[in-house]
Amino acid sequence: MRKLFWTLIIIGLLIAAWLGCTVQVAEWETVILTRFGDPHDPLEEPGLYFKLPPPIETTIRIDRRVQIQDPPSQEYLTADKKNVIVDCFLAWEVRDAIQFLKSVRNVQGARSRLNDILLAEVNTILGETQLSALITTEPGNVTMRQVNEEITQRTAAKAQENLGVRVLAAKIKRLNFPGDNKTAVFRRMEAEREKIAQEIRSQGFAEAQKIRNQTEREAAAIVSEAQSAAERIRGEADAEATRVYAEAFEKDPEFYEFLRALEAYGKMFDENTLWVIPHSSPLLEGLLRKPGAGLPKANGDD
Amino acid sequence: MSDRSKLLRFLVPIVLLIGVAVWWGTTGVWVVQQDEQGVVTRFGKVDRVVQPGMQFTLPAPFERLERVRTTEVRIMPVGYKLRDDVLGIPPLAEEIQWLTGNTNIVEMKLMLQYVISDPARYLFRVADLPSGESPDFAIRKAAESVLTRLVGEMAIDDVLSIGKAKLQATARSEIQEQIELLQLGVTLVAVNILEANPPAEVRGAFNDVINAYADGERQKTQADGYRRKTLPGERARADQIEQEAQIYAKERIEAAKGVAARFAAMATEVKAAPRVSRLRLWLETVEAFLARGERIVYDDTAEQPFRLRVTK
Repeated sequence: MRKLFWTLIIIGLLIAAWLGCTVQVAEWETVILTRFGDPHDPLEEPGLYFKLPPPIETTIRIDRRVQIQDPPSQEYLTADKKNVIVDCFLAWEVRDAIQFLKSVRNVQGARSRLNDILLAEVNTILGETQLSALITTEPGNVTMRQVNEEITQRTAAKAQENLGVRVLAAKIKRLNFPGDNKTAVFRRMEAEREKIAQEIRSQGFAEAQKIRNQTEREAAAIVSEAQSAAERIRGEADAEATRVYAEAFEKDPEFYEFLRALEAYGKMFDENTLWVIPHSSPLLEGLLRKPGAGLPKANGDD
Repeated sequence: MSDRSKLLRFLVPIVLLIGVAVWWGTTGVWVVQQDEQGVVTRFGKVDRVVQPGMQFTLPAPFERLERVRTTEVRIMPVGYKLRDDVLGIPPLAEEIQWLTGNTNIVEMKLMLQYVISDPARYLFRVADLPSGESPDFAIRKAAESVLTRLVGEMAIDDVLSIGKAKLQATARSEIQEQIELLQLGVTLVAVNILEANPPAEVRGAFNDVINAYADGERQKTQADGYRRKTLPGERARADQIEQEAQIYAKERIEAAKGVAARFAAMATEVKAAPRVSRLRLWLETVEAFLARGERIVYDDTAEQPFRLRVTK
């Protein structure tokens, strides 16, 4: 029985020694050893370490993971006097555990200090930045990159110097306008759309008109070409007819002349014509005188 | 004491000790499922990453194994919250609205897809957010920062239409850069724009632009219709003009031929008996026109001159 008692005592002492004289540093932390409360030795690499038992050496664990924080969004005034709501985020990790411990003690303390630093830097930088440069479709826009870069750098410099913290990123996350300004933006957007719609409609009308005009022109061309062809056909036909007449009449021009004259007489006189005929007219030769004296010789070829 | 009780006194602690040792040993036996990887830590330090199957480690408290589902594609909404989406609550303006170049506002919802590519980093590198959210939500913050910059460089029309594909591709690589910077241990698989719309306040004006396109098209279609109707009509008219000319030509030439034939026939006939024929023609004509009109025959041989007064 006494043996068992001593065995248990020894096991108990071993466990106590193990707990008191070793320290496990996990992947996500830095352990600071303090000798009589004075921090002196940060253990940054994870693993198992030996130390003097408390109360000679005690440990303080510092979270050395990346901390992401998202300060509340704030309204800022840009260099071109535009109100804009900016939402930032911040990522950081402990770099100098001793300094971190001395300046802010823990992550919660660091967060509030970093919030203050970040918001002050954003305020300064945005005050020197044109909103029109921050959001623009100008090619090669780099303002937003530069602003983010600058916020990161300035925040990082202050954090490193004062808090023992390394800032990985401090960036603008979201931009928006406060209510009144937003209404103005919406009105401008509407005006822009109206203009675009107007342009599109005008263009549609113009193109339609073009099609109509071209149609008119082509129609006129078709008709006038047909008319010109018709004139040509008529002209050729007239020429042909003339040639046919000439060819026929050319065979006996003298008879044509006689015949044509008779035809002309037939047209010249009508029922209104008053004929005054003397007795001596050859027309009346057989009637009033003995015939044979003077009927005209219409042609001298007999 | 008997031999038996001596044996028992010796055996019981041995059996107990073996039992405790076996139980202790089982704390170093793990099963990693098919879709998982295991991260083994020794005294809190990451020692190795192990693959699916039965895995052995040193027993507690020396080694530990944490399992992470690495094949699963996870999602992270940007521009809205999944919880709100499920409950049908519309996203807040500050969630869904983004500023585009030329100071326009667009509403955009995105869905990021990612897998855990570095289980050790994923488990141990990034702390939970102050809000208590898991480090996964840092992906959303990195994404928002990149998207605010990228959308801020685009015209709203690009964000709403042709620029989406390029935005998705650019955003994917740039967000991945930020993820590397924050050491989140994940890899983006895709950035999907789920919705991109003009804000409700100005949607009417945007729709009117679409209507304007339709109006323009309708104008053109009508003009085309006019063209399709007009040109054949005009071609028919042109054909009519030409046909009429052809008719005129035919008639004119045929008439000339007829007259020529008649003349030739008469000339031939007259040649056969010139005097009589001519006399007949002449008399027929004179007869025809003397038969019309008033006639006065006077004696030109008389002593008294003949007087006639004509009044009109």
